[in-house]
Amino acid sequence: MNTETPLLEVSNLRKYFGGVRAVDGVSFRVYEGELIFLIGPNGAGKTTLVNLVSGYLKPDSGLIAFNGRDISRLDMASRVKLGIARSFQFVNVSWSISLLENIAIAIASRRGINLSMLRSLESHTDVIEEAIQLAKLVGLEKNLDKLPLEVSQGDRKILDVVMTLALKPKLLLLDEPTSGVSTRDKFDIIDRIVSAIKATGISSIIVEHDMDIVFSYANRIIAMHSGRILADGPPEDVRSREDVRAVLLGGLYA
Amino acid sequence: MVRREIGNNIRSIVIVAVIAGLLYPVISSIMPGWEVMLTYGIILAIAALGFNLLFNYTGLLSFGHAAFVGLGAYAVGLSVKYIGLRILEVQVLIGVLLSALLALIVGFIAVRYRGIFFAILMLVTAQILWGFYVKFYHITGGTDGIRIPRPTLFFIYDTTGLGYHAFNMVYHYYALLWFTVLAIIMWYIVNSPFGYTLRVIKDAETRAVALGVNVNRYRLLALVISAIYAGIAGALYAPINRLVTPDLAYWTLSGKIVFMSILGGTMYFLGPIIGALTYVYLETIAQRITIHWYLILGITIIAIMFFMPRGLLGLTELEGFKKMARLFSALRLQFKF
Ligand SMILES: Nc1ncnc2c1ncn2[C@@H]1O[C@H](COP(=O)(O)OP(=O)(O)OP(=O)(O)O)[C@@H](O)[C@H]1O
Ligand SMILES: [Mg+2]
Repeated sequence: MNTETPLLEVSNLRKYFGGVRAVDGVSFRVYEGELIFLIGPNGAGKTTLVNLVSGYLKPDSGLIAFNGRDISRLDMASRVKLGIARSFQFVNVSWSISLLENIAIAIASRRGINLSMLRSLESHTDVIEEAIQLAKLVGLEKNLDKLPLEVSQGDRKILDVVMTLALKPKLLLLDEPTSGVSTRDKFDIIDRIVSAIKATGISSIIVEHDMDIVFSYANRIIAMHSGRILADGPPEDVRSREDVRAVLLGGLYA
Repeated sequence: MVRREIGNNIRSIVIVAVIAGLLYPVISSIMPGWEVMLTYGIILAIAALGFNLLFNYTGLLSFGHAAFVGLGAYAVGLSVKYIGLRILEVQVLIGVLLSALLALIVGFIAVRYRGIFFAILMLVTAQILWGFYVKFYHITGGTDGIRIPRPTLFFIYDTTGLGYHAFNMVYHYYALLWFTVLAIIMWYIVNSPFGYTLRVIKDAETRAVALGVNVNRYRLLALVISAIYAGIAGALYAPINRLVTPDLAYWTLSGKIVFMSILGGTMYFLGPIIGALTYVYLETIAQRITIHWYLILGITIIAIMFFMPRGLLGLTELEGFKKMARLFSALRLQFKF
């Protein structure tokens, strides 16, 4: 048992959409430096859980504590300031500016300089320099001057993650960072993301559908189904659970 | 961070500005009277620049920018009428303050809405002001408006004694100075961290929120800046028009501002400027040719939107134009100019 204060403690969290119990009494803890994969079939409630923790949605009931402090009533911007950052299941970036500018704006936001008006973004060389360094960390340095629509889907997904990393969060929530990418490229992308996460030591929860990826990278897996947590633990434990296999693995990892 | 399109490239902007500035004496010498048209053009370009900060960079369509133009113009009109103020810079300042205040009040509610709701809220605001100017005629002179005497420029230069042509000449360069300064400031704004944050808000609002950006505050600020531009345009409009009427707050003017920007190409920094100049030119020609000028203008507008959805500056992305641009830069390298 871990005795330190958890970074994140979620207790009995609920969110219903009409009759749909998207998140239905979920509890778990995340400790400093953990890399957790969140799995579950379509509609299991994974995105809703990310939305609740990041503050994009307000829970119907339950508690979310960050570093021991109740944050369930805080809005998204305040949670970002505390150190909770999230990416999106669908690429969510500015299409009219370059990759570099997208990253630079995320950095500018963290530094609190995006109200600066009379100096060009370009002339904030410290911000640009940091953006380039960050891009190098995930191997995105080649196409930085391109617009998001001019690069591959993989690079766009990476961009989405980099913009989140640029906030230097304490807790990173990545909602399907490999969705929409060909199976062949998925490993490459998750590899770049995981090594960046490990290099920075940020606690992370990654939503992922590909079980090959999950079992290659996870130290801990949380499996959801119908708004509830089915299993939570090391990969071997989760893999051996009959119920998880039934709803998720389809006998694949029997 | 070089923008590929010509209308977003600082060097091309400087070239166009210099050419336009040089053209002015030529135009006024061969076609007397047209210099007034050009003055109207650059004044409306100021309003269109403000409009486009909101439209292209923030993603908010205002269908009521005439509210701010009208406020700027009436700041001049009412201050002349009631306190005899003639120093234009002070009157512009009053217009700026009033426009900013109105933008803050309306914006407080309006920035919570998007798309058509925002557009309509702005439209309603302008129509309310228009109604005020018409109905409170004992204050505003109603539809007869307020006559504007010759202004005093730069606090000391009284233009009362100038002849018709001389005043138009002086006032053109005066307006051009305002335009140049305001265009440069806008250029800095759209390329600043603030300007880029607006683009993120426009393209990916939830992302902006996820970055910790207070989206509504940025929208409000963009609206205030945009309103200030339109307010200044309105104040500068009054002396050249010599009359301030409720038309300046009417929805047709709001519509013109929208149209000018689309005509030039809202995707481009230069778009609203080129659009305003072209629009005033088209309107003048159409008015000279026929009394059915609104019809001609309408057809032209539809044709342009249909065939050139990116506006006039969209033409610069055609292959032929690019070839010419390459030729031009080759010549420039060759002859070092
Ligand atoms: N805003 C909403 N309004 C109504 N129902 C919603 C909303 N968001 C999610 N739901 C429902 O809640 C349930 C959980 O959805 P959620 O998006 O969290 O699932 P998920 O695990 O992320 O699925 P996927 O793997 O497909 O992304 C689904 O039944 C979904 O239809
Ligand atoms: Mg999801």
